[in-house]
Amino acid sequence: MSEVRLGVDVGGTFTDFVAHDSDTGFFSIGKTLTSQDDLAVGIVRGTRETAERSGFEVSDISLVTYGTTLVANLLLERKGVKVGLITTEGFRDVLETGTEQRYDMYDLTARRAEPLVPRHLRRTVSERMSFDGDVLVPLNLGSLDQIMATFEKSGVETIAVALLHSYRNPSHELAIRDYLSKRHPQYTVSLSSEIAPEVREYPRTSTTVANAYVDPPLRKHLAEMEHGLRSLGFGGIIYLMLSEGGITTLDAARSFPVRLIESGPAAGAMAAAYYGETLGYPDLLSFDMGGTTAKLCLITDGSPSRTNEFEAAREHRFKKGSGLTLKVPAIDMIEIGAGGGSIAYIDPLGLMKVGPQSAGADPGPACYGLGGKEPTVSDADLVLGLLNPSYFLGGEMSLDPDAARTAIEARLAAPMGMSVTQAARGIHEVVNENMATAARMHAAEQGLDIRGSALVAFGGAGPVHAYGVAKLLGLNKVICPLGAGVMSSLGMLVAPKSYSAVQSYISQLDDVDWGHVNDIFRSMEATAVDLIESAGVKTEDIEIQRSADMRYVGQGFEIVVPVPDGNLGPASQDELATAFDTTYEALFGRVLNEVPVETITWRMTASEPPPRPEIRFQSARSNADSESIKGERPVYLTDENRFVDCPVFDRYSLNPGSTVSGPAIVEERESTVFIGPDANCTIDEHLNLVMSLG
Amino acid sequence: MISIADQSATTLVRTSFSTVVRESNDYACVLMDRNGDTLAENRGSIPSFVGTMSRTVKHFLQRFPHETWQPGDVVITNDPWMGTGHRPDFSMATPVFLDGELVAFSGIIAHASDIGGSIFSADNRSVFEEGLGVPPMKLFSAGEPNENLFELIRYNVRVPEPVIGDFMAMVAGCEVAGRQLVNFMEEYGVEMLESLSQNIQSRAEDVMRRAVRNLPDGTYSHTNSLDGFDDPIQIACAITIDKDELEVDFAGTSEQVDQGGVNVVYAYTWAFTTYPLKCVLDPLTYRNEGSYRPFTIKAPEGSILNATYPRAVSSRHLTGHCITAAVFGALAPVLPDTVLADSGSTPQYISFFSGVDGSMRPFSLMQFLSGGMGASSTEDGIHCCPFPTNSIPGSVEVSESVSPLVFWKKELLPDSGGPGRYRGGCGQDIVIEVKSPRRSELSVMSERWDFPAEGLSGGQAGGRAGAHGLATEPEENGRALPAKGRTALSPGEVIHLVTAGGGGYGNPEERDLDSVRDDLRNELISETAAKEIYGIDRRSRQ
Repeated sequence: MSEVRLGVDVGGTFTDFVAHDSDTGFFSIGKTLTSQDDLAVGIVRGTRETAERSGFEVSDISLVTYGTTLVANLLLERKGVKVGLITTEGFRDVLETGTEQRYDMYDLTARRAEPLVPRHLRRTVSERMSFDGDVLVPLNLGSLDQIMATFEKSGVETIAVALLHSYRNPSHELAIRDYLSKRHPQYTVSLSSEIAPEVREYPRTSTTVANAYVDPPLRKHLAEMEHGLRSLGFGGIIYLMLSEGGITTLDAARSFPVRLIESGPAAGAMAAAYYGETLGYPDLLSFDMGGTTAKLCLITDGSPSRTNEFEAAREHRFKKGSGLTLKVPAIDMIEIGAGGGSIAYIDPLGLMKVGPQSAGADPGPACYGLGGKEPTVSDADLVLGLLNPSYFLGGEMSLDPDAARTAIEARLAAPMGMSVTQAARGIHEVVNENMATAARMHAAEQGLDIRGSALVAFGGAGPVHAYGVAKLLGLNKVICPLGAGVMSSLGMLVAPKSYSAVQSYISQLDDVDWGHVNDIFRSMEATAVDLIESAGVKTEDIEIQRSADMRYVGQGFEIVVPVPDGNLGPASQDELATAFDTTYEALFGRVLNEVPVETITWRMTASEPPPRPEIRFQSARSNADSESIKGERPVYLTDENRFVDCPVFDRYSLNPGSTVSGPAIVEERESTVFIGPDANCTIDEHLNLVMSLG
Repeated sequence: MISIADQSATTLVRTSFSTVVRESNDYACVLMDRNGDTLAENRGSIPSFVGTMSRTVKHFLQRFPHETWQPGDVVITNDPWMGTGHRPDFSMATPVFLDGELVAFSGIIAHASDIGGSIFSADNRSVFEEGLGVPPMKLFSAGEPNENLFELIRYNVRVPEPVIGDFMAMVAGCEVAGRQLVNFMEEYGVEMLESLSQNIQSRAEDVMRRAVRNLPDGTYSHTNSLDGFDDPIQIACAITIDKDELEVDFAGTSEQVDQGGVNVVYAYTWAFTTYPLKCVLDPLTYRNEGSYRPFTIKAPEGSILNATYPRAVSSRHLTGHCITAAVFGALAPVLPDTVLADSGSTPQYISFFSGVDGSMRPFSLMQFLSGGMGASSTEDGIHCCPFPTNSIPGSVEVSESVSPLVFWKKELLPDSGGPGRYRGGCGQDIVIEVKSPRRSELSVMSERWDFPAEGLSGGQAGGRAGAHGLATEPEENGRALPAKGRTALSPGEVIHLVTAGGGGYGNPEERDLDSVRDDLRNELISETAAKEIYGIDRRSRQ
């Protein structure tokens, strides 16, 4: 019997499906409008349609991997539930005052994100741990009943508990949960010692509260989705995509809903890594440019760079610091306000700027003809001949070049005294420069040199801008996979089952209690292995990676240093010291010999080797036998400062082995590839377009 | 170009030992042309250093003429009058060479972890008590370390490793920026760099001139009062708008003082006068020197805002930060919807603890404490938020892991936000126990004990700041601590620090009743305040 695996990515506008049939090796694609009111309905409908269209039964599906924007949207739109927060006496306002810092020095109107829990629902209990886990003040459980009475009266639906130093000694938090589960069993409880057992009270509290805030609606949604799929006859397992790029079971996801915050985008990066690896480019830049933002991720030696802190729901023009700090393992992506809908304007200095404001989907760019008056990136791309007015979304939508020209003329060209073409060129170049600068900064922060890496471009606008961005960054290969619009759902099928855990334990390296560290790793690894085994992975296939956040004593920032496997002991001290030096030097170019080193947080990730199915797209090459050149149109070439007639190819009629020399345009349903004058393309056996830059 | 300066900043911050650098953004990275004129600055730093690096490099060039510089040179100074106004700040510059020719400078200013002397205290009598002074000297000569200077610095500071580590972080930051600048110039040429920079500056200047021209011509004055060290200080600020030029004159401001490091050098006065002007006139343009060309800043020599050598200047922020409030006060009649009421977080409240921990190892911990920000004509002030600086204390859990301190409380203080149609931000209530087996030392640098943050347009003042030791027995009174000065703490002594609230904006009787009820429910105001100040009962009946 054939076995089908299904990847589902719920985005803002569309829900995408990719199905992989293990017998034939074929992939098939489905797309349905996301039903905002009831996400589960869209998933169930799309699953049925994809099955029907691709000729398999829903009961053939053995596995559904699901990536969702639900958690991110609940936080962004503030549509989670009322949370009651219990903290240590004297520390009621940690959640609200945050780091205390202003994120914009000059803007007096810049305000902190409103805390997810208002002050009257933040209550304190008498208790106190010391930094090394001793009880300074015993826990007063008796005061909880009164707190719960207040919560109940205020309509609180779930409880978050974040006590000082609970990462070091969780006993008070655990006692609170025990007490609540006996006396107030109707509430779910998120404990900071489980959600984010790391030192620093603000990020830990913020993460725990965010977890609680999305917990009830996520549980409800997952139950509805599971029920819906089961009622179609689905008998397989459901996995969820985590922000860190691994997948996990429904149960595990329900324990840590906040870890789903970057579920969808992480899958895109995993797909890019998969393409890089299978095509022989282990070092690459994943470049996902959509309507509102561009997401960039560095992939080194096949693995996407990762981070342990993420800022969600930035409110103030994507400004760093204006969102909610979350301590979650996540693929390290930079997201900037640069997409097809990004609005171009003249700043007070008289310079052209693009983004982060976006025209969104409604009214959208001027060329959508839905009443948009502001010039956007898509308008510029249309004027420059990069987009085809009559083949947008495969012809489902037509674009209005006159509206684009009018908007650019009125808002930019006339005030700046330049031609519409020059202004459009300016928009295209400014947005490319924004993205390239962000990528350079991101690489510099990690001490990496990305020149010579490949670029994997996807998202609606990615392939249009990939050539320009690659030129600015000195990259010499651009890969545009087929199916640029469903990369995230494809990523669901190439992500490994994995689980990460973390535990802070602060100690100078020469003073570490190795027995304690071994206990930490043993406990984290046992949980992880259980979880992954329960998902059907063999013990011998599980790979464990350990690391530690370390710094010189007196510094305020830690770096992540690899930690050896097995039992650690005094001999590990030198090994870790050397590993720290190596990492530090790679990042900052020098080491300090006289300063002692300390460890702050210990981390572990367990995962299986990532699945590597062969990609064969079913029915993708619908036009395989027809003429691949569709025609010709004038495209503005920057180097020549003029429009030049360029051939336009149909992506679906390009056969493996075909070559295309720039300048040229290749059109597909969800995107358009621009091939610059000094670039050459080949279509590989998997129908990927691989561009080599001169 | 700005991104080059930003990369330099990233390198500096991530490798720095100084809490002040990494938690407080107390640094600046600047690219300059061969004459020391600014090309670009990083984006994130605090205002203290605006414009100072360029002047410092011009001092460097007087001491080391152009032809004497070699690749690999690193020159530093911490002279308050050549640099940024107090000795913990080091200004460093490295030359950038292209094809063997000196074409630019890459500079960094950063607050060092220590500079010896009794620097973290507000009761000094002269700059000689405020740590080691380093005139412009080469830290590296053609890549070779100046061992004598390193030795001298090591010998004079309490914690040599972090201090030297900070210098290395600065050198690394300068190098990163220098390398990037060379790449840029190789691609676009030196002329391109300079013309680009001049172009940006003249555009920024145009924007600022337009903003100034929009204000009605005239002279607008405001005087605000500070506690001072022994006697109150007046900051008299007169702003004259003349078409597109703006002059700020501090004539009438109090004289400099003989004791207490609250004297301010001119460079710092300049920085904290131009900062609030930029906030209200053109907050969006990335800062560059062009923005400041329409401004003239005058402060009489010998006044507390233009102190002369060798006055004590280490706590200059206690006076200098408050210039912001004087400027806002003066501009309030012409920009009533843009300026803020005075902030309780102005000036920064600093407490500095030192002594030994339970294992008799020495410790020191600086805590930057924030009060509440002032309200505006449309919004409440932000609680517990530094302004005009951006220095923060870091996590309580981390502080406790590196010192014998236990924080028993760090919470918003109800009723400390100045009442108004828009309420000032609340200050904080902080209780700290020092669990040391020996006596510890506490240095407090604070203001706003006698003169709170004033309200604006009918808004009322925020709560006052304070500090005292808590009584060990319930029936005893706590002991008073000085607002500016050092105190010995007994083992296990518990102290109580309070930061000031921000001023309110507009008449509190006009505050939206739902907001009053929210404040009451959130226990940000007391029932008494709701009744007596906001008139909640009477207004609810109407």
